[in-house]
Amino acid sequence: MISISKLLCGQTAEGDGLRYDDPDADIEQIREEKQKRPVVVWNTTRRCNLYCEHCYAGADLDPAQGELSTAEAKGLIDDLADYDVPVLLFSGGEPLVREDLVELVDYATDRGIRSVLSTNGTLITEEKAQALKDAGLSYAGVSVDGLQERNDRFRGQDGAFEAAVRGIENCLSVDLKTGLRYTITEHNAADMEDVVDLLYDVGVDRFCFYHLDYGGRGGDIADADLDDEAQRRAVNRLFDMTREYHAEGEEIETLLVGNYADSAYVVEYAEKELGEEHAEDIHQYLRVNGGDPTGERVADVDYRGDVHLTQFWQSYSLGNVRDRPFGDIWDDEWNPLLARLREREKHLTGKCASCQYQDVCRGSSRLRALAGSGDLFGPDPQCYLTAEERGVSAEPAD
Amino acid sequence: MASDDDPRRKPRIDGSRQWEIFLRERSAEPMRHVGSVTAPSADIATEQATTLFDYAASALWLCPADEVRRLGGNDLAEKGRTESTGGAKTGVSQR
Repeated sequence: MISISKLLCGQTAEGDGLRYDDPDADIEQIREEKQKRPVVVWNTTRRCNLYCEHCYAGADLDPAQGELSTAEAKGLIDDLADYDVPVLLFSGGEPLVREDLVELVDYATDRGIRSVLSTNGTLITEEKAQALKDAGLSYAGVSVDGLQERNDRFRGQDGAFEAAVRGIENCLSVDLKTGLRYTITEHNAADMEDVVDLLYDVGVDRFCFYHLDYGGRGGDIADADLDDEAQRRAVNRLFDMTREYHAEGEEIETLLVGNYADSAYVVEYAEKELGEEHAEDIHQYLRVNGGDPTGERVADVDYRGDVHLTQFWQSYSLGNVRDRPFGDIWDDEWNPLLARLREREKHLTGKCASCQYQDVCRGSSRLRALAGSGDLFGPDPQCYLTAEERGVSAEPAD
Repeated sequence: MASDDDPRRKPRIDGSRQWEIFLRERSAEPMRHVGSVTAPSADIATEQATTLFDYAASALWLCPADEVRRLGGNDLAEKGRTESTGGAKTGVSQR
């Protein structure tokens, strides 16, 4: 997760402590010692009231066999708390279809874990928003993937856009911090700015843009991913838009997720637009940030308790929390895949091996590399950097 | 969205099966569990496991997860039961 508003405009926000080790940040940070533990995404259920084209979890309308019960979920939360997990992201499917969601948020909060929510927003009534807020929920990220017509087609339901905006309004009405989650594809890249403008008018000030990863149904629409030029345009536009908002005194928070070529590109952008000194400061922040977090600073537990290297990589599981506590699974570096991922710089091949930005990217998505070439340590096919930007004189024969 | 090709009307479960993976690095060592893959066929599961672990394995075994009988483990329900008020409303406790 790369905070563009932080890097280009100097904005600090809650959560930066998990991305940057910045002792000078002027707001309360999550405690430093917890940053060593992963943020855990928990797919609380596979059920969902929508059917989105890009769903990495392959969510269904019907219940899936083997979901963790309420008591088991609390046992999981106990294990995560004992392991000092700093943040638990309640995700799905659609987490709000679980009748015990508020109870579980309350339980996690009591155990000292910061609770956040990833939702399609369509089921958030004002009463539900208030209950979640009272239970200690810190943040609700609501997925919207384009303006009304495009979003509804993408999400498989007419009215989904309006319902999501109502959900956002309900959160804001009870003072529950709420932001946008937006997965960029060639179908909706043109809507990005209009969606930001529209939701800013509603009261949203945090905008999180995801690159498409190729897990679950996301792999079925990989051909809708942006090509290199389109990615550069989209990311550039996001940089410019963030600065334009801030120049007007409207301090939106903007973030990019899922493609750490963005780390290199924001340094390149800053060199041209803000000068070398600012660019070097950004580069230093990003060195601390550490590039792609798969298998290290982010983990996923699915609805039946399987632990994954990232929420997008559902086809491989390290183990199951019904067999061993999460921390024992996560620390088991006897697993050669986990061990190699945590020292991936030694194994990267092709253009990643010689890239000058390896320290802030770390090869980006290993899942996309697998999908693209079948090579776990091959180049991420979504890398859009030129040879010059990577600091080499010519493209290698990958 | 009510047309015949409405994606919500299509089958949701793709028939994928979970396969536990066991790996032996050297012949003098025991087999060890290294996770699982989920794949629509045994051949694809084998291909996935090979891609992820072949470099480290002198031997690799795959076993359908639903054929494994598990005894013991991490009793999450027992850990969480004392605070539970609602019981299992959303699923069953077996894998």
